[in-house]
Amino acid sequence: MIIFDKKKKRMSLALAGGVLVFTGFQFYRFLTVDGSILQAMSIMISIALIVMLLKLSKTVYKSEISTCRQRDEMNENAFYEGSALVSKIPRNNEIAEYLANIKDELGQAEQLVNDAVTNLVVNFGYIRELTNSQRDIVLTVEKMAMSDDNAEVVKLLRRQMMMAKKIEQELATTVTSMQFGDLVVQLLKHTESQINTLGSVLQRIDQQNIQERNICQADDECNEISYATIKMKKINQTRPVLQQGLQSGEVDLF
Amino acid sequence: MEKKTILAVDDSASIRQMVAFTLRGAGYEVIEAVDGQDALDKANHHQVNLVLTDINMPRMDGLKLLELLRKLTSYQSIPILMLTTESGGDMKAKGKAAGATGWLVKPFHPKSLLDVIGKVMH
Repeated sequence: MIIFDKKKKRMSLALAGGVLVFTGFQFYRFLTVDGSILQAMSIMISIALIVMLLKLSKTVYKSEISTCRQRDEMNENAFYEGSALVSKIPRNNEIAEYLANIKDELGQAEQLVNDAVTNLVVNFGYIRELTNSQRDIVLTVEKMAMSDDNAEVVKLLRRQMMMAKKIEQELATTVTSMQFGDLVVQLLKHTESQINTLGSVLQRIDQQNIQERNICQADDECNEISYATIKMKKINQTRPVLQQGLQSGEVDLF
Repeated sequence: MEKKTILAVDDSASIRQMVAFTLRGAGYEVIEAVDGQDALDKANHHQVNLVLTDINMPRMDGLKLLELLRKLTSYQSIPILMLTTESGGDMKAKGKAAGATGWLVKPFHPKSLLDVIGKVMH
């Protein structure tokens, strides 16, 4: 749209220039050779044409300024809108797509961590139940053995009881480590929000870059950010992990 | 002796389970809530002796829950502990101003958690 307006402006100015030269020549002939009424009228029409063309060029210039102002306002808004911008106005598709892929991978990592933690918690609960059952059995057998005055069995059961206590202590320590899932998920969410901010900043720089080059349309070939993004995409084409959960992997026999 | 009841609030299922495991193992009754709103609903239906809540949660965060609980007559003197990954001074100050009894940073160690709960409940 702006390129079209610019062309109109240039054409109007060129035409005005041409008519001005023609008028000057007519005026010269009017003064020096044969000043007819027809020539005088021709000069007046030419002057009117020049004025019209100049006015037209001025209108086109105003329209261009207004469009650039609108674009500036959009950029300002983009800066303040932050992460929301990426989804609202993906002006540079390369950046938007690249960052969306990174976010997908973060989501995948979150899913894997959640699955791992869920499985660990289930296993943890089961081990705890078994430990409690074992302790109860040992206590019961110990009572029975004591009544029969079986010293050797009581000794063994006490050792067993000590082991059960050790397992319980280890389980208590595991409680601290088991909280890693929550911490990792929160960090992943924070990273995702930072990527959103980075996306909006990149989009803004991209727009500024276009304006500075005075090219009022997205031209991916001369856009350095797009070029860099495409290059990064080519380097990271293969995903090292495709699994979405922690189910057992496939087995291929050759 | 009657068991003391603790309301444990966290959007992370694994954290809720770890907290519940620790507290039940020590003889407490545990009510679990998945976020601030759920906790507020449960707090209105049960009388609890202590609230242990996370901060960053969907629907209603822990600070808002704290603020709303302190407005309820039955929760004005109940200990409310914040159990969170947040360790910044500003956040702690907000918690203190809103009426938190204490602040524990995750990951918690079961013994430390039980010690703190023991202290604030007796």
